[in-house]
Amino acid sequence: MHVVFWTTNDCNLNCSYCYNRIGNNIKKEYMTKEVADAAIDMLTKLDCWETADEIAVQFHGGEPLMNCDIIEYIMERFEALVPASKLYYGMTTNGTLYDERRKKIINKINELSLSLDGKAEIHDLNRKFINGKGSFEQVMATAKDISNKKDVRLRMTVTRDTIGDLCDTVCYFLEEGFRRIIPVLDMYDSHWKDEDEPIIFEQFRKIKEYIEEKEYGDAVISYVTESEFVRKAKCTGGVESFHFLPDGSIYPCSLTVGDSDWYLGNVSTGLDKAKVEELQMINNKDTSSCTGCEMYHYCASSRCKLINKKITGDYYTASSIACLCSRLEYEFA
Amino acid sequence: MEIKKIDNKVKLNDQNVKAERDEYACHHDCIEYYYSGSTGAKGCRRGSTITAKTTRAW
Repeated sequence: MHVVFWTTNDCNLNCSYCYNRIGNNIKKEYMTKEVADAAIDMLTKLDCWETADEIAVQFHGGEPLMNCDIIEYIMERFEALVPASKLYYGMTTNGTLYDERRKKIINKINELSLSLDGKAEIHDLNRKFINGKGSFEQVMATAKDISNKKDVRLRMTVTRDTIGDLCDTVCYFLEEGFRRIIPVLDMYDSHWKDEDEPIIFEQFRKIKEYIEEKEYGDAVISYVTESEFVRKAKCTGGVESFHFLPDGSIYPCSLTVGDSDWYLGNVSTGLDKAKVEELQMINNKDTSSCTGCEMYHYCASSRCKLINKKITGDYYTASSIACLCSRLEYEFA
Repeated sequence: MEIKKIDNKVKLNDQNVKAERDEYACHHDCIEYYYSGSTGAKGCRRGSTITAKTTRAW
């Protein structure tokens, strides 16, 4: 079971590519103990609560560490309900809030993802504080301190503006001692063009060459260090995967949060089972644009029709950037 | 950007094709290419014994 608590919609940054920007007028709500309790009560009544091999609890936002009270409370509740061997914590943070209390929380996180787009000149292009100041210096200091104690996943958003520097950026992180570097091509960037494709492939090829030359066998870098294909299983949204917002509303995944079309109910009223069935029905149909492709069953666009809808406007027409990501995987396998 | 289908199976064989463990156990954030739970913490389920031949995911 995969459960994500959006502890707050509030954030101390104002990143230019974020859905949650100040200008978008998203409510800066904070999750309360009452909402968390209702969410946990709902989960414990589901069949999959008993049958799940593990309970993965993720904290997300906004900036999740702006609501430490609720993170500590949720951890306390889950630790009372679930054996430690079945419980895994994850968190995505911007790395700018890092005091003693937050360090204690981070210590308990099994899978920590830290948003860091590149060197200062790249990171600070988009990831700024509300006063306009770049956040690189603070995030890098946090990343280094955490990486001395535990594994940290550097999650990079790569846009058309920054793709030309991708290899340099990844090599920089490798030389700084990081080994889990996850560049993600910004799927919502509508400016990607056909002429970008050779640049994207070239950047990833250069990264591969660099890793081989330096013999960084322990490095994990998206696409480049993967060697096997994973045939996609069914969408888990609303079945074993739940995103809870601060106001108690439920969505199937991070992609759909806030989208009224994919509102699955509220912690106080329960899951809208008809909506969950509709989601499964849509996802179980074929992505017609890709019939015959040998990567069909290994591609995000074959499992997730909502990605297709978000990016192309049609459930069954694949996103070209998702297609490119699958071809990257194929090249480096 | 265009959709470009791959039309050969050279790299897709039983040695390098694995499956997520069962129908609903992927814990995979499709858009983020992100695994949570033990998959995220200890590595991908690709290390399991499930192969293209034995999985019940398809």
